[in-house]
Amino acid sequence: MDQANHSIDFRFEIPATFKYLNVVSNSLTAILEQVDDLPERANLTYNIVLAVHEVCTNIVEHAYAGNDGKIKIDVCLNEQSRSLRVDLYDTGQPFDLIEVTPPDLDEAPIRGYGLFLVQELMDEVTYKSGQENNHWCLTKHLL
Amino acid sequence: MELKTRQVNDVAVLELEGRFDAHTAAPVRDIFQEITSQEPACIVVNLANVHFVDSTALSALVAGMKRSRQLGGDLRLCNLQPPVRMIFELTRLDRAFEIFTGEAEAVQAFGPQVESR
Repeated sequence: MDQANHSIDFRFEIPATFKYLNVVSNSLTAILEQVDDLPERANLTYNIVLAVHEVCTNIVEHAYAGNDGKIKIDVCLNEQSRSLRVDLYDTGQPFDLIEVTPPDLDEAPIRGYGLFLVQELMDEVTYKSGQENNHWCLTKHLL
Repeated sequence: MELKTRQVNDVAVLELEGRFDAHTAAPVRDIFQEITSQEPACIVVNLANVHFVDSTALSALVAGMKRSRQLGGDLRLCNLQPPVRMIFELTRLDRAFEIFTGEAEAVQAFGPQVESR
């Protein structure tokens, strides 16, 4: 990449429907393709793409619950610190991350994998609901 | 997502292609519902051409597997791509499902009684 020591930012906004979540996946994949020397490229890309997809799915299903809405997504790639940060914003119903019970994986539950995957696949996950919007922040170290 | 179904003796084989996610899972769930409406519900899902599986897809597969086992059958998986396989391992679903490297092997594992029925 030409600007190897700089933070590179991408910003986009999608309708909050399942139909367009592939746009997010494809965009993230394209961004990560530009990172040199990505370890276990296929797995790392899949993990990041899946975690962001799961947050988007959560926003569509729970924050907007079938109503129209938008998801704003900021992606910050920092090749100097070898990290990728993805901020997602919605204006739907707030969500209580602390109330979510982790799935009992020994029981192979039918539901409950989404947020578990987000937390397992990313290095840092935060969520804040404010007056203007709800904000997810996902960070992955590209070591 | 492309979805093809075939019958190999008494085993229903589903061949999926593309993204298996919240947007595409509904027709797969419908097919599982149809197959598991009668005994024995023996299903093989071939994921060779599936490059993306999300939590909604996992839910559909687990529900199909549990329902088919209630009916004396099973839902088995084959040809998982490495990143998809890793998600099954992370969620420990690699222990819940019988996972095979090839479709023929997955079908044959249902045993001669199903194959010759």
